[in-house]
Amino acid sequence: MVTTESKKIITFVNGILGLEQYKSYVLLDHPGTDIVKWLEAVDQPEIALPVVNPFLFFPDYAPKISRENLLQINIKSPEEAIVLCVLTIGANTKDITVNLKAPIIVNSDSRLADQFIADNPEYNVREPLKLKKACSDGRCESC
Amino acid sequence: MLVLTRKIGEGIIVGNDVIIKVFEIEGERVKIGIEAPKTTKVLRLELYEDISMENKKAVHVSKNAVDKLFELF
Repeated sequence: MVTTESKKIITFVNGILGLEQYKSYVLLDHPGTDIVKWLEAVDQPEIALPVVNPFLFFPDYAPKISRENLLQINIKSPEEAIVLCVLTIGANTKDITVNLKAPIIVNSDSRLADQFIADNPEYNVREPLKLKKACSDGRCESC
Repeated sequence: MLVLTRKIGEGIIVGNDVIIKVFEIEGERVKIGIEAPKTTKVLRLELYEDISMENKKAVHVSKNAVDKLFELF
């Protein structure tokens, strides 16, 4: 299922760390859920990262990113930002982690984006994710 | 890789606007000062490598693995 909004191309100013050669992505829904989405490189469907809205799992999440950095993607106020965190699933499906240290921020209007490093020492690159937390919000029908 | 020898107080300029200076040497540790535009990414290499590795690992997550997440609950 591809929504109209997700077809809009997201342009990374610097790039996702380690994947700097890919600058253009689209945000696609994962079929059957609104929790996980995929950031897929344009014309390179093999380059796709699962992402989540971190606020669903960590309601107090508040990454500190400098004004100068946010201005690089023309963000002047928090309402303009879509925040996404990269999801990693280990070989054992139970090892699910989310990268709270390096959120991807998208300007909802211009679709400019980048991956930033949050200046919060308490945030981890591999924060264990408990899916049940999201389920208790009633967002997951299978619960 | 360019390798230079510097003394305390000496520095290096990279490009037009990045200055790196050696501040202090204490045993195996070197204190370095970096002056760069605020929009220039300055990161400890191991953090950059850690995040890069995590992003590349995420690229290898299959759609199937995500489906399985929802089957678990």
